[in-house]
Amino acid sequence: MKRTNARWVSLLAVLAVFGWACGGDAASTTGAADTTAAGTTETTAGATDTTAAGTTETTGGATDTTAAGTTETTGVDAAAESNTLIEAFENDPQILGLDPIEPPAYASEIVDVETSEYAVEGNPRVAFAIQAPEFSWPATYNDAVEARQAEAYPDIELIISPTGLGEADTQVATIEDLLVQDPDALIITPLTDVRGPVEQAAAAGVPVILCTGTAETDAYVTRVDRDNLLNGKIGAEWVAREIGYEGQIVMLSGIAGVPTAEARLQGAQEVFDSYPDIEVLGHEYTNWDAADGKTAMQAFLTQFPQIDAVWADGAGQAIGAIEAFREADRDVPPFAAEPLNGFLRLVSEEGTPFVAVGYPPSHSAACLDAAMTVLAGETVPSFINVEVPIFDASGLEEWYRPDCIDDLWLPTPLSDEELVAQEFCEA
Amino acid sequence: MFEALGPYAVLLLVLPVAALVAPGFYRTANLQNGVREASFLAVVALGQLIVIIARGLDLSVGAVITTASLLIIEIAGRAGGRALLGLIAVLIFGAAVGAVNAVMVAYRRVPAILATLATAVVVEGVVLWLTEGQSRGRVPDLIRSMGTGRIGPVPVPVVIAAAAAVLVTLLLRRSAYGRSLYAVGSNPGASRFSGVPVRWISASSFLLCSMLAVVAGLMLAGYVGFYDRTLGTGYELDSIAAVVLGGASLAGGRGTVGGTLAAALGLAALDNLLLIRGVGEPFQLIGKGLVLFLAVLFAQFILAPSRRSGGSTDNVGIPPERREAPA
Repeated sequence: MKRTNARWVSLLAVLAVFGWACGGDAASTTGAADTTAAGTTETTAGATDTTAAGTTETTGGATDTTAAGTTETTGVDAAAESNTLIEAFENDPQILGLDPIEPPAYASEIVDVETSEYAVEGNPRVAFAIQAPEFSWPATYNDAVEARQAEAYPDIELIISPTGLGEADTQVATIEDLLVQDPDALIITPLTDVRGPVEQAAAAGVPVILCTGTAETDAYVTRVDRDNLLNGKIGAEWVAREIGYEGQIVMLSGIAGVPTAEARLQGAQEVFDSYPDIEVLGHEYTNWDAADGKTAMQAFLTQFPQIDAVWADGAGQAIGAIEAFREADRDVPPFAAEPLNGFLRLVSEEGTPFVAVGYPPSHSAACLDAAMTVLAGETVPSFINVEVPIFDASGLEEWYRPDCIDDLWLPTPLSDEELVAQEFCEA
Repeated sequence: MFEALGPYAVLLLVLPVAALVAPGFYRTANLQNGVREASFLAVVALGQLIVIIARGLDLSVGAVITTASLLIIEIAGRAGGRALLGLIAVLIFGAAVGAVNAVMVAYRRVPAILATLATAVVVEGVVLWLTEGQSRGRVPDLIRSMGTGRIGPVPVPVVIAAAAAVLVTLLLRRSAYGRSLYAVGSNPGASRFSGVPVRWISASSFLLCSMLAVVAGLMLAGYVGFYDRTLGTGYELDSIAAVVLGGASLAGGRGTVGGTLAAALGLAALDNLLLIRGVGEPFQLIGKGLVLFLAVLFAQFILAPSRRSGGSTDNVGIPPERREAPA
């Protein structure tokens, strides 16, 4: 008897915990109140330039002429985004005094997408397949989405479903679960090949917005991202100039097969290949992770007596790599990486020349904006640029936050008060 | 005599190959790095060895390593943090995880592979919940020295691993507890009848394993110097591989400290060789898998041909209650 009781008690306990966990999950989806989402006129950010006057003649096969009143609120269209991307290739290197980079062909291939069929009356339900907040980058990414929703779209229903980097293979299932909940729009942070679910959603009439990443299909409506090929090239061009276009360098990448890492690597390799006197001594994948970065750099340090510069596609492994130089008592050479506060602290302590090419997690907010534009039935460009900070040692004073934790991505979407409240910074 | 060489199979394969293809392998600085990386794995594997001898398995060591590093950073690494408090908290955490594993496996008879996997997942979830994936401190200096310090030419992690090896050897070879571990692993039924506290022995092996994983977590935190969300990932299976390559049986009752250390050294040497050779990610993975495979064949057919007929590993994969007692 006693044993049976214990079994029932444990079963109940398990159910209670399970219920609590699920309850907590449900509570995080914001209930749709009745007030209509009138505040959606704030459309996608990003396009700074106001070129392309002929924006009214939409390029993509726009047949409908609905929502005439909305055209005045959209600040962006395909021509403008195309222009922004081309200008990013030309102008961003010049921030560092580098020569303009030849824009790739796809920069001119952005089209306008007609979305009136997706227009929703009242409060829409938006599903967001995010990256699980396992470390600071996706944690900030998620905070930014929630902050944006609270600020601009308090009445929409936002369903969030996370996928971990290490379990990217299950992301397809995660997205399918989201689709079952019948969302009006689906935002995906691609961590794997999401072609299948994107096409499935499109077939079901759900507009898909790709956020921070890409998929080899054109079934999505729009994609919000920073061009990673360009980010890779800018870092590499800076490294090349820093060593006088001759010398020996090593390269540290993120995760093999993740599109973000591969595009950056491709961009950097194209640059280094173009300088015959630059020798790439070695390249390693490091999971964007300090431990792997340190181990890889230690191996390089024992093998190569001279390393003139390091190109890293992320700040995590760069931090580990700098630790390896310190421990081996070798001078830290010029580094290309990202603006993570810990990286900025190390390079400022070492007085090392560096370049930080941003990929701010907070641009997830722009993805929510894009989804809301689509749900308002407004025309969107097929690619929406994200602006990123790019700076070298001369920008240290402006960006480095000595009062804050190492694990803070810059720029941060949080206000100074929030940073202190969340113990990211000292008061 | 040949059988005794089995645990060295990976080293015997890696060392001559390294001399041929990557002379830099034998540089002092590289050897120091390699031995230091081996010592992280060795400490985890020693704990795993104790559990495996008692016929268990611990898949939670990876989560324990990551969490231990996070706790020490969060408690001791913030402004005004207290290193001692952090150390106590980390040790309590390790004991708690070990205790949960112990209760589930030894007292509730949940298969070890499931129980420890569940613990690992829960620990990871709780960590995510508490930190939201973001660490807010730095690794304190005391802990840094556990990972990066040197005593003369010898890295501190090597000293810690050596101390752990001596303690575990004494425990296994010189104590009644050690004899009970082997007895419980080879035949729990007979042990029970001869008065060995089977449950307590099995339970305590999980506690010891978690505590050693905590030590490894502190060493690794010191080595990296930053919170790393994947710090412990991979150590679960690598530690099991080291123990089994080192001559232990997953069916319990067998395994030595010497063999485990040799295998851990071999695995670390293999990783190091593939890294400095710069063969690229796909070939690193292929190379690692192939060498492990070769090492097992090498051990079975060349070093110990008499084991071809099997025998000691016959019971692997069969639930304990259905296993036949040795004749």
